[in-house]
Amino acid sequence: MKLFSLFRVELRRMFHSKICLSVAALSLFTPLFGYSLYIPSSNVVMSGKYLANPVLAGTAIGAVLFAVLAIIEADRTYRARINALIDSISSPVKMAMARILALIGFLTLTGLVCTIIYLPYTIIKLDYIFDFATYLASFFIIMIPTWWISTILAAALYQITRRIELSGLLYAGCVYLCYSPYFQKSYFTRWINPLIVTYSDGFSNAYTFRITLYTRILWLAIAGGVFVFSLTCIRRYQRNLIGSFWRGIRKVYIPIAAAVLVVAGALLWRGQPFVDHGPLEFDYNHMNATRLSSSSNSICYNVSFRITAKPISGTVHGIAQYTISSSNGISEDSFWLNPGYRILGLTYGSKKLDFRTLDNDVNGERQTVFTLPKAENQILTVEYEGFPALLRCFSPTGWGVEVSTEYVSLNNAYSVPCNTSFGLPGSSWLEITLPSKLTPIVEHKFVDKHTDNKDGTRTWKTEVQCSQYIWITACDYSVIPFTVAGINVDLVYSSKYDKNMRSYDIPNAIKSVFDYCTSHQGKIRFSDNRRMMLLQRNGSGGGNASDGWVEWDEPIFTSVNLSNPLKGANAAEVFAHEIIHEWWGGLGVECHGGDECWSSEGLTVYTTYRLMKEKYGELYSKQNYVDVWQSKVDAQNRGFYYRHPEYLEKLPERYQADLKIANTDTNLYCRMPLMILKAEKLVGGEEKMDKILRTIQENNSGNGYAKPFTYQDFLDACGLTKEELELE
Amino acid sequence: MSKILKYELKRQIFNKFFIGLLAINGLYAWYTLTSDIIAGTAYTAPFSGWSFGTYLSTVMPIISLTILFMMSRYFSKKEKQVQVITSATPVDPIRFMLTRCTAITVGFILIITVLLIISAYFYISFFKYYNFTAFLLPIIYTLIPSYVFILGLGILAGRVHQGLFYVLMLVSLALCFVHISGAFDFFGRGYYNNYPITLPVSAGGEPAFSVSDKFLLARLAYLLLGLGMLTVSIQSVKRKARRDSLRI
Repeated sequence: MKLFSLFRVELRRMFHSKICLSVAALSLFTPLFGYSLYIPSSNVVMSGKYLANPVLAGTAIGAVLFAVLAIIEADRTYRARINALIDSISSPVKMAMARILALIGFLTLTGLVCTIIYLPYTIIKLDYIFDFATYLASFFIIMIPTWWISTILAAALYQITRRIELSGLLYAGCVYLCYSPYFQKSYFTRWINPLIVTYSDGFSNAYTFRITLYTRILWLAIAGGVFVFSLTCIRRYQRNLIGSFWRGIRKVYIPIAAAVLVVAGALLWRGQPFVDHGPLEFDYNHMNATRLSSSSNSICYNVSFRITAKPISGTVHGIAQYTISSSNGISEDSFWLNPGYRILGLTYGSKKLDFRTLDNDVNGERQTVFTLPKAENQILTVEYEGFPALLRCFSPTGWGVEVSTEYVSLNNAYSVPCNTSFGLPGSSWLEITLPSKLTPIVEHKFVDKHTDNKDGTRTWKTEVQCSQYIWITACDYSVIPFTVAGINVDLVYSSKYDKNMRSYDIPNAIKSVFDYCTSHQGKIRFSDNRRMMLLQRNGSGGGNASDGWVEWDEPIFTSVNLSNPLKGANAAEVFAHEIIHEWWGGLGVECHGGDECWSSEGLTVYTTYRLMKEKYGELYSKQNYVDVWQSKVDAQNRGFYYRHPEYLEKLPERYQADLKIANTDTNLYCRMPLMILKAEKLVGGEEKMDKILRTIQENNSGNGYAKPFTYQDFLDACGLTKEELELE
Repeated sequence: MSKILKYELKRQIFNKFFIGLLAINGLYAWYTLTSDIIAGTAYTAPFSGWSFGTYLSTVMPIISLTILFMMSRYFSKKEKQVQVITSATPVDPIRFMLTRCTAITVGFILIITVLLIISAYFYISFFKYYNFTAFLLPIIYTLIPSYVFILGLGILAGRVHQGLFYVLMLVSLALCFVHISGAFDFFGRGYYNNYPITLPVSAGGEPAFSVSDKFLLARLAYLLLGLGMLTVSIQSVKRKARRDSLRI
């Protein structure tokens, strides 16, 4: 019989088989688990709660169900003892191929039915947030391909072992690996439970779908390769595994096809463009060392950047032009750019320059080195293009990178070459081409000038203060301007959050934080007296703040978060915390990382605690702040590697990174606030502490990193010594 | 009987499935040591008795799965067909059953030996730690009661229905993911993770390895229950043998 005929017969049989129909029916119920029991993705965003989690639950549980079905179906002829009969009618290899194709067809139809069944409920629950493309992508990129992978893998394992329990055990082992802590943090190891930290209601899910589609193709290639290999292991002529294998590999094209598929999967894994190869922890030393550093003799007079975001491919094309005088022909110059970008050309005047891109990924940057020939006022042109790769250490959270039709976010080395060895002038010009419906914000300021390119894109032009980093974000934004404590504020958010912002009266909630901080800790000053920008961004939970701007991740303003009475102060904590950073971040309090405690986080967390104490009372603030800090510090003190740091170096890099990150977080967010609380008691109470903090604010606000406010300055202001603040 | 034992050992241990399962156990053990135990349990050193107890109790569900898999062979349909012939031989059915238990126990000891060697290599290579006598108590507390209980339960379940093996395998697999704390924690993982936190720390900054009386009683109870189930199985074999001889 021909393969297609066999496939047709098998498929028809499956639609009459009780067990197949039962598995299909059960798999239709599996997304229900995602509404309450199986929550792998953030449940705070609406599309996470009503789409991502149900789909992920359906994906994982359905995949297991179809794997069981694949094993049962593969064993069917042996169980019924008709294998000899079937083998005499058609080739067992052809039969196995027909069976897997029929299973794939069967489960695809089941997936299609599942997509249709859950559509009305999802539309009702997501209301104006519902996006049909995201809905379809969730089922056709995440769920159905994972079911294919699982079914193919299970069938392959059965064909290799030809035992139900053994293939089941091996399959369970493969599933276990995906849920183990070792593999959980990687996008690429999770074949059955794709890593989706959060969906977005107001911005874009393009990056999530791109990386998930990539991993599905990768695992389909690997599972397909294992399946094709397993065809050589199908038992025939009553031989055992080895005998059948020797017989099976006589058809040379089978092992070759298997090898091609597995190698293709491995190459996809190795050459993935989504995550860089940097260290597992953020390198604060690199950040501090390269901040405004210039080591070359070359002098730069003028800079212009032209960036084009290509939302269909998710790539960026950029041209950076520096007018440079190079007085020395032997100095080696360099710049850092995202490792995902390829440098298309490097010219100085009309001369093409040789360059080397080093293998030194760190903090989402990679260094390119070149030598400038001696010349006056020539233009150094760097042309680059590529898919922005996430920092490895932040990759599970998908930190801050997106190029799609709905949202563009390109920060630091994702936007333009940075950390250039030659110093940059005070300002430069930036041109950025974006889809028409997106409004850009550059360096936390709106861009006024634009030209319509009549091709669905607009080019925006603005002058930027040329620090080594340029932050660009673009979305369909809404703005609420207001004034509080004499500060002009723009609250900027995705227009999809219009309803939430107004119904929960967010501006008033923000004003209350400003009022508290101004009255207790003094008035803040920004370095350039501009309007303050409070910006909502795509992200999974926290926020960020600096001189004159605050960024909040999307979940802080979701209905689920704002309407949850149990979360009360917790939701407000991140919300208030980032605003409070405006008071302490501007002091140039540096974050050293490692075991250092002193950073703006300590003062910010302490002030947040004080605000919550005033709002919710002493008991609440003690339970939710002081007790939490104390328990974390106690746990840190008891930790084996904290007591014996000499053993830390013996650990593999991943564990060292995990432990160091945990230690840093405890130091910054728990130990230091406890120390400041101790200082408060030693100086004579809250009022006296407020007075000290007001003085600090008045004397140091706006100094920035040029004259950072050190831990010793803090101790001097309090009239205390280091020893007095040591925790027992 | 020694000939039968040799044959059973050959059948159970010298086959590709046992070697495959042994390899899976070894890989899982190494993975557990390098991903979980390396961090230490309950703020104690990775080479503390508590951490070693956690290691054993983490690998024990997979070992149990292997043991159940080995036992399932004795109660398969094929085996029941062969039983007609074996029961006609002059071999004492109780001794025959105990011989099979011995074969499984040898398999268990073999797996444990491999896993202990892996852990010794881990401790020496990572921490230059050699004081393995400190691990004796966790070995006794964790492995023996669990093994005897699984053996007793497996044989009893196999005599009732072969399908029960698959249920037990699923339960064992589920226990890899579920963390139960308290003295009656069957494999002891939750207990080793939680109990030391409640203990006072010694001069070294860690609580000494000393389990509670409740935990000891629970381990004893599992041991006795396992032995009890084995006795019930023996009695049932004895009754069946008597019935068969009366029929003849």
